[in-house]
Amino acid sequence: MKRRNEVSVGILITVAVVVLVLGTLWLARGKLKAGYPLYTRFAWGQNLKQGQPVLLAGVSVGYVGDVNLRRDGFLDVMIRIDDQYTVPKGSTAAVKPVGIFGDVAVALTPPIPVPAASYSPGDTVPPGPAASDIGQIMSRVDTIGVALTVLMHSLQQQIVEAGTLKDINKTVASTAALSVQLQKVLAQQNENLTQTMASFRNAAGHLSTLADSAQIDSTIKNLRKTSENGARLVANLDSTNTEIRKLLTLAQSGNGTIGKFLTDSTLYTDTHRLLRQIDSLVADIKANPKKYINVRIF
Amino acid sequence: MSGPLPQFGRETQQFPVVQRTSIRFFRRVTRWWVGLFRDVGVRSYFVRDIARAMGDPATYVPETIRQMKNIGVDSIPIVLVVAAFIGGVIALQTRYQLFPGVELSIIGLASRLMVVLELGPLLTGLVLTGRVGGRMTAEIGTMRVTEQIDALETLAYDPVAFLIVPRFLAATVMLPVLVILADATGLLSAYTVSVRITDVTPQDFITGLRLGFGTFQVVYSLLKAMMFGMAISLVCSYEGYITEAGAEGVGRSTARAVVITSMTILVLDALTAGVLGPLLQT
Repeated sequence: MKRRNEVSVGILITVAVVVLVLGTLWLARGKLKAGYPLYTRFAWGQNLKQGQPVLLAGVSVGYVGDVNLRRDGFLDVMIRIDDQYTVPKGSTAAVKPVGIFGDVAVALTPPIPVPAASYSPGDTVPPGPAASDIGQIMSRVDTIGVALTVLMHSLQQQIVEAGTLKDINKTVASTAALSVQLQKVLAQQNENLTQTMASFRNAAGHLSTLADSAQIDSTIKNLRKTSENGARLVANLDSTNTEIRKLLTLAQSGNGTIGKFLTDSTLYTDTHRLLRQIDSLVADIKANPKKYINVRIF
Repeated sequence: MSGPLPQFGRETQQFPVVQRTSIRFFRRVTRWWVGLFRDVGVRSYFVRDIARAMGDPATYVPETIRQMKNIGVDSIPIVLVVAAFIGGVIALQTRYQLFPGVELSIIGLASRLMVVLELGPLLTGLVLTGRVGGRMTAEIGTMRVTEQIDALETLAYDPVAFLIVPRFLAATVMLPVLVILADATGLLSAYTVSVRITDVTPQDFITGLRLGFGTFQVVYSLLKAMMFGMAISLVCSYEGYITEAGAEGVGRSTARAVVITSMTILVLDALTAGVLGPLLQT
């Protein structure tokens, strides 16, 4: 009984210790083997800690083995790479954020084209350009948020407070009313068109029934004669027009009686003077009629 | 020296009503504080006796193994069942409360943090308070009221070394052991429920499970378990050790032990979170 107690307690404690060790290692590393070490160096403030993943071209190939704080503003970081992976020479290391919870990973970026040589255990991987951490991203988001707030404030002022929104509403209402009216007009036009088409069909039906070739022939002949007369009339009008143009050209050139009449201002001046003299003469006659009209009967 | 007696020598009943009431109130408060300090002092003596009894391993080692079996091995089924249900429920509730757009890996993270840091040790402690602590008080209390403890003393056995120390050591060692299994079972249950019942993929869950993990989280969990084990064994053994007044006293001691231990565990949990919680952020 006593021995059984000891065995059962021993089994329980052993199992618990194994679960504890393996579970902790698995949670910290993602796997149980340690892998070979590589070293790199980052500036302070990277939120790095033991157990964070190491990615090679986006693939998880290891974990952060150790982080040592230096006094000169840098962190010495030992990363452990799984034995099955090799890191190409010339690869650079950077700390990049993973997910939205502020966790980070060490990202190894191989050069393109990928060289055949690889880092040996214990080599140092040079740090590459740092990726934006979650703080920087949040700060950019904050900036965008502030800009959006300003924009929304401006829109509020311009659209809501300045009455633009009301105007837009009115315009939309007017457009709606106009649309209704247009629909009515279109409906009416549609109805008229339908009636016209019906009349046209009706007339076409009549025409087809009245298809008398003699009448049509005489009508066409009359139309031709009318057309010929029209053409002749147009020709006469054309020649008349030409003559009138010539006449006008002559008149504008100032030659001839009409030309001089139109272009020479002397006639106007003389006529004007004559009219004034006539006015003064008429006025004088009205004032002194006896001077000019002397009627003697006897 | 003749003359009237000073006022403090008078009977309480002889004082006016207002003064009499104040005197009784003051006396009650004083007794409460005196009782509290007395309890602290008596328990300190009890702890001192345990420490002194540690120097007699021949008396307590064999019994310790038996108590480890009682406390540890026999408690495995209930601890694992509780942990499995808690892990599964945590995973389900976390998944159902998530709003769209949140990464599903948070379920693994939340399960790990809740199971390992809080519910694993706490629920194991509370469950063992009922199962182990009650039994401890009842056993020792019965031995007290049936004068078996007195008989041990008569036989020159140190009852503390024979009865208390094994339970104290066994609870202190086995609680962390049970918490390790409870944590593992809870996480396994959370993983199974998440992957089988919800739309969480194994990769999502494992990513969250490993996110921001530090070994101190495990140390924190085991430290709490160890403190809970100590609290259970000390409080329950003491309450059994001072049991009086027959079978009724045993029942009363058992009930009081369970209540005091449960409260102690919750207070210790809060204190641990307040004192050691900041270290979890590193």
